Amino acid sequence: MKRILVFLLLFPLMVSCGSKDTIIQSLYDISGAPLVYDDSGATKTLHVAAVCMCCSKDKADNLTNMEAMIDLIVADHSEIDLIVFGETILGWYYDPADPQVYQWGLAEQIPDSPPYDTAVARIATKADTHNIHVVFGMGELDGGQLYNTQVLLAPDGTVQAKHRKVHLIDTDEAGGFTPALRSAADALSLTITDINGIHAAMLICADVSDYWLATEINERGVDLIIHSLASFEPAFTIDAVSRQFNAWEIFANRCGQEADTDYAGNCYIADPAGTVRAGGEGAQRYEYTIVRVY
Amino acid sequence: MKRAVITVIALFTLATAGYPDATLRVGTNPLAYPLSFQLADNLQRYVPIAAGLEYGFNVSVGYQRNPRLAWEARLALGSVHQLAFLSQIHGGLCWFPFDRNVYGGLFCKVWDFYNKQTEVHFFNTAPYLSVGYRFDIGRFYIDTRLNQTFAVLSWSSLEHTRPGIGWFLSPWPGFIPILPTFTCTVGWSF
Repeated sequence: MKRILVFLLLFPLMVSCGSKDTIIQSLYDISGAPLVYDDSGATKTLHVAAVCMCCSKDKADNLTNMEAMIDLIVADHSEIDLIVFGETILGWYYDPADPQVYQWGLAEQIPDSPPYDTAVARIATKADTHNIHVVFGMGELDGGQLYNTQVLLAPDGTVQAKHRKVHLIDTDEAGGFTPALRSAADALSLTITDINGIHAAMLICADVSDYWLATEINERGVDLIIHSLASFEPAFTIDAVSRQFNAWEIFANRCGQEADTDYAGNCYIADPAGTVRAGGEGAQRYEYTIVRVY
Repeated sequence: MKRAVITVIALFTLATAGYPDATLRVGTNPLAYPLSFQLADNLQRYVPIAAGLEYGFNVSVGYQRNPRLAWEARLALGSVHQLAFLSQIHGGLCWFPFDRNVYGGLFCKVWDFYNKQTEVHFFNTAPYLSVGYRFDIGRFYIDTRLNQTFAVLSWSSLEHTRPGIGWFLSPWPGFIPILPTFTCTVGWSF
C-alpha cells in the first residue's frame, strides 16, 4: 500500500504534459521582475515598429489607415527597417453577424510575385517607396481554401515570405479559415526568414501555443519572433513568448470595439529575457525600438 | 535595524524553545498533482491558483516545537506545460496567535522556471505572507491557507542578462492587480 502511495505521489515527476498540441501558458510564464538584457555588444540591429491599429469593418478604410501609419512611422523614424501590423488587419477579426461571408469577402490571393491584388499591391507600393519591410495579416484565398495569412513584404515591394496560421481557434474556424499543414517542409506553416541578417520566425496569434510549431522553431533557433495578433488581453509585465523562444518578439495587435469584443490595445516589443522594451495598451498607435542581436 | 534584529532573535528563540508536545508534520498538496497532466484548457489555466501555484510532486514538512510557532518547508517539482519544468522550494515560519489552528505565516519561496527546449533557467525568489487554518483530525490534518507575495528578485542563466527586482502582488497586474493563491495541504502529524 505504501509503495503504491509513493508511486502515485512521484508519478507526476515522470510526465511532462505529454505531447498535447496546445501549450497552455501558466502564470509562471509571466512571473518575476523584469530582467535587464544588456544588448550593448550586439552586432546586428533592426529598427522595428509594432502597430496597434483600430480596425474598421471596411477594408478600404483599413488600407488607407495602414498607409497613413506607415507614412507616420517613416516620418518619425527615417531609419525604420520593419513595420508589423496585426492579424487579419484588413477588417474585423470576427464579425458575429456572418463570419464566413465577411472573411471571404475581405480575402485576396497572394501570388509569390507581382502583379498583386488590391491590398498587397497598395502596401507593397509603400514598402517599395520607403524601402522598408512590412508585415501584416490578411485572409488569403488559395485553391478554394481560405487561410489566415501573414505577409512579409521586402523593401522592393515583393513578397519575401508568407506564413499561414497553423493553430486555429474557434473564431478562426467560424470565419471559415483552413489551418496550414503541420509540416516542417512547408515554408507556409514553418516560416523562418532573414531580415538584415536577423533570423526571424513568423507567427500568427495562437500559433504561439502550438507545441509542434514551437518545437520546430526552437530546434532551429531564431533571433526574432514576428507575431501578428488579434488579442483582447491586457498588457503583461513579462513577455511569455520571448521566454518561450528566448528571442526578441514584436507583438502587433489591434484596439477598439468590434461587435461584442473590446480590444485593449496591448502592443509591445520585448527582448529575449521577456522584458518589454516598448509597449502598453490603449488607442491606435505604434511602438518603436531597436532590436539588437548578438 | 536593532528592532528588526531583536525581533528575529526573539522569533527564533520562541520557535526553537523546548516544548513537550513538539510535533512533526508531513503533508502534500493534492491539487498540485493533476496539474502536471493534460487537463482541459481552462482547468490548466485556473486550477493552479487554487493549488498555490504548485505543480506536480510536492511535499511539505513542518515542525512545531511550541504552541505559538512552527517552521515549515515545502518542495514542489513538476511540468507547467510541455516546454517548462518548475522546481520550487519554500521556507518560513507560522505564528499561532490564539490557539493551534489559526495562524499567520511569513515565507520565502525560490522557483526555477526552466525552458526545456532553450535550456534557459529563470530563477526567482519572493517573500510572501500567509493566513491559514489547520484542522487537526487525530493524527491527520488539513491545512488551508491564503498566500500573497509582495516582492520578487529575478535572475536568469540567459546570456547578457542582469537581475531585476520589484514589487510583485500579481503575475498579471494588468488583468488582476492583486492575486492571492490558495493552498490546501493534507498530511500526518507525528
